[in-house]
Amino acid sequence: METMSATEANAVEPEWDEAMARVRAYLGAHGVASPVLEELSGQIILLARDRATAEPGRHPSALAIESAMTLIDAWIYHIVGSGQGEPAGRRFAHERASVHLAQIPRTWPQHFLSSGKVPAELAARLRSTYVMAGPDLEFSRMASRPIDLGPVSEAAGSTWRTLDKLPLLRAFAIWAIYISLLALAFAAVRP
Amino acid sequence: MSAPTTPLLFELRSPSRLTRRRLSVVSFIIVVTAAGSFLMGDLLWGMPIAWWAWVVWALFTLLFSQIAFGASQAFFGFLSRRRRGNLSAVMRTLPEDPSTVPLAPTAILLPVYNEDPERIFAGLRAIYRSVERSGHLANFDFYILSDSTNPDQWVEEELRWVELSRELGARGRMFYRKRRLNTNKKAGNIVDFLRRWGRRYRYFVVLDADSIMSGVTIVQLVRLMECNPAAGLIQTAPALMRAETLFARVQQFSARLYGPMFLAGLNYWQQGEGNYWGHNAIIRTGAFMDHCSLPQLPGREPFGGRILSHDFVEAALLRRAGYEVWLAPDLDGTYEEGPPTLADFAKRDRRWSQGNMQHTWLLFAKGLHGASRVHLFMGIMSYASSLFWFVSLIIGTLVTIGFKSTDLSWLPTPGLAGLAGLGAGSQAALLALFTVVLLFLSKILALIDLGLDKERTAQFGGMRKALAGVGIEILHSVLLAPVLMLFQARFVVSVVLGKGVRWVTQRRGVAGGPQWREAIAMHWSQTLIGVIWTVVLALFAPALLPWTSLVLAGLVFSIPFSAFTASAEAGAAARRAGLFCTPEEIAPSIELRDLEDSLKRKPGGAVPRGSKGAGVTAAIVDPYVNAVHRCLLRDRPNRAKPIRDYFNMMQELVLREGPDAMKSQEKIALLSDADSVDRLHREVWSRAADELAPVWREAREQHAPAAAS
Repeated sequence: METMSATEANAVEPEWDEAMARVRAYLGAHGVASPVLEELSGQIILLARDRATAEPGRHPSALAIESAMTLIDAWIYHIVGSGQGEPAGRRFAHERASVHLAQIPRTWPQHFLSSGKVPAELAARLRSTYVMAGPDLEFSRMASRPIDLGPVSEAAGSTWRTLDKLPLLRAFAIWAIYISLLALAFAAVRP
Repeated sequence: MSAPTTPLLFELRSPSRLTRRRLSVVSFIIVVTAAGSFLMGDLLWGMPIAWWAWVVWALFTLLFSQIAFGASQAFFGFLSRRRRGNLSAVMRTLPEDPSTVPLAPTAILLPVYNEDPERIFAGLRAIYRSVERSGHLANFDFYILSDSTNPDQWVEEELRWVELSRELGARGRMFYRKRRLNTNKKAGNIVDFLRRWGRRYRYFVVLDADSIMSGVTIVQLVRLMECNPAAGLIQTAPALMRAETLFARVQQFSARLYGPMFLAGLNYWQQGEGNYWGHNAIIRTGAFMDHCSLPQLPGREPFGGRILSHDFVEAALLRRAGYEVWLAPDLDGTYEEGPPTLADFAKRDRRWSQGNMQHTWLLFAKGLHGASRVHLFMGIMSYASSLFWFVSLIIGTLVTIGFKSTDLSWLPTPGLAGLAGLGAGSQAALLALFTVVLLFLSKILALIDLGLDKERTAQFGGMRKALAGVGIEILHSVLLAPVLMLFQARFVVSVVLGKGVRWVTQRRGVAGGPQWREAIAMHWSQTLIGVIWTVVLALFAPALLPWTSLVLAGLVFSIPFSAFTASAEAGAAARRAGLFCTPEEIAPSIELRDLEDSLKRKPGGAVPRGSKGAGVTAAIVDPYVNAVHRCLLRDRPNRAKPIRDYFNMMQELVLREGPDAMKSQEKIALLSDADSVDRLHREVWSRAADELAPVWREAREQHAPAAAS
């Protein structure tokens, strides 16, 4: 791709300037550094410009970022193959995480997003960094068993439930306890 | 499934010896309690206070039995530790060459709830590396089971998990699971794991967020379970560590010095009918899954409803099913952190008191083993006794005021002790001395136990330092006891009146000097009670002041006491003076050194730390953080339209106004929705600046090439 022409073209179009800066920031967030950063940004802007003719109403930045995401997705898919039937969003997330965990842009900057053949080690590293939250599920049933609380607790439970249903009775019980305590204190100071 | 029967291994299981031991402990308690109760009753019967005497005497006897129980644990623990070759320890069931015992698949579970991710993962790193060093890593999987409700911490946990897995090469061995709903809190968190993956493992080890266990200890636990097919659970006795404040250092020191003796005493009589303390324990998965899913209690929270202190109940249910529950007091390499301040200690007590009071329902449950009922009862009494103590002090004060107002004589009738030539004053002094001896028995025996072991004495900084530490610890305990009495009495009454507690994260460290603000907020009411009580006694019953002076001093000075002991500076000064040293400080294990090293390291660049909202922002903007977070979300393509509309509305709101426009629960909901996380990431990077909140623009700019390179 002709990256220079993209840069020159952007020079007079502020919206494409902004798109270029956005792509550079996005790739920078992936760990891509100069000089590969400029080269890849230019490629992506060219892809976005191609899309702009087909989707004229869209902002260049949106097209550029979508192009960057599509390129990253396609590149990793090309290397690691099928996403094991995962939904697209999840697969893309795994891919991006793998790129970071395998430190691809730092270790193999010249190969990141390139259309050429990549080293076998790169591919192996990408495959081995798949984020795995847990092993395969093996569901079991773990139903709670009731405990026979015995007559004392059952009686207390039924009293509790009764008091719970009758707030006035509950309030009366609390007042009675409170007044009894005061009466006891009164009695205590008069032996 | 019920517990398999095990042939008697060595001399571990001897019913006749167990009966003898229990009879010894109960006899000790009865003899001591009866003696104290007699002296008190004889004094009271001499006074003309009629039925009050019964109340005071009953409360005294109940409280004295608690003291006697504590003393019995120390006494029999001391004998047990001094008697070499005690076979009644589960550790003795290991063969001479333990490596001949095969290991079984075991999961190591780390339930977390908003604790500091840096500390959580530093601890996990130390444990993982220790297991790796043991050479048995292949038998273990590690699970971080998150119930965190702070969205920033959630994101940080995920990042740290990925980074740690990468660093340790633990992919496929260390897993992370975040629950969307925190049903049944920690117990529910464990049950959720078991429902998903439980059948993959024969055993699971439960940790706390601040737990550390060495690989050797974990491997030994698995082997002990393999050697004891009837064992459903083996609980280790974690040593406190990393104490910095004066309060925490005193707790750490006393637990480490007196703890082994109490634990030996506990193991002396409970044997295979022990208890579970919720973490640093290994559990037989099948047994737990079959018998330990907890039901709801009658009534509603806090007294009823969901069982909060699940551990005691799970141990009781395992025992009911015929499985043994062992304590391994002599197994080293197991640690935890304690609360740093009195305020934190009280907050933890608040939770525990509610959980323990709930156990009242289960005291009379059918099928429970007698020992399980004892554990439940002791748990209840550990809080209820504070209320009883407070009530007895109040009654004593009121009765004394009554005497003052009527000018009645204190002791118009000579007591039975008079027949032995004892006057009333001597009798009261004898009773006080008896109580003090019982209270101090554990400290005296612990010091003798220490003195008989030179190597262990050195681990406490030498005998002189240990003696000084015990002296200050006694003063600390004297001032602390009345404060805890008021706290715990209030907690018990609150629970009975229906006031519950929230599930909060325990703070593990405090920096700097005295914590005055917190101390005033926590203790002003206790100070007020102390001052009023002192004034009332000074006016109406000054003779009672000397007897209550220690209790009153604890209350009156609760604010400075709490503030000063919460000081990390005071803790550091004590450390420099060689006071309250423990073996873990003087000769830390490799795991503890590893933990400290990890905490000193700077976090990875992608880990969002610092300002509030850093985690949420990173999860949306940073492609790596977003990717990791998104990997862990489940896709829900068939959401109902109203739910999709809700999320669309929230997405627009957050894009235009930033994450602060949402409440914490809304952030969690949005971060739990895969479509929202995808779309927000795309939109934040695609949208024009004027369509985004400043926070997104700034976050985008941070990734500009200059910063990236």
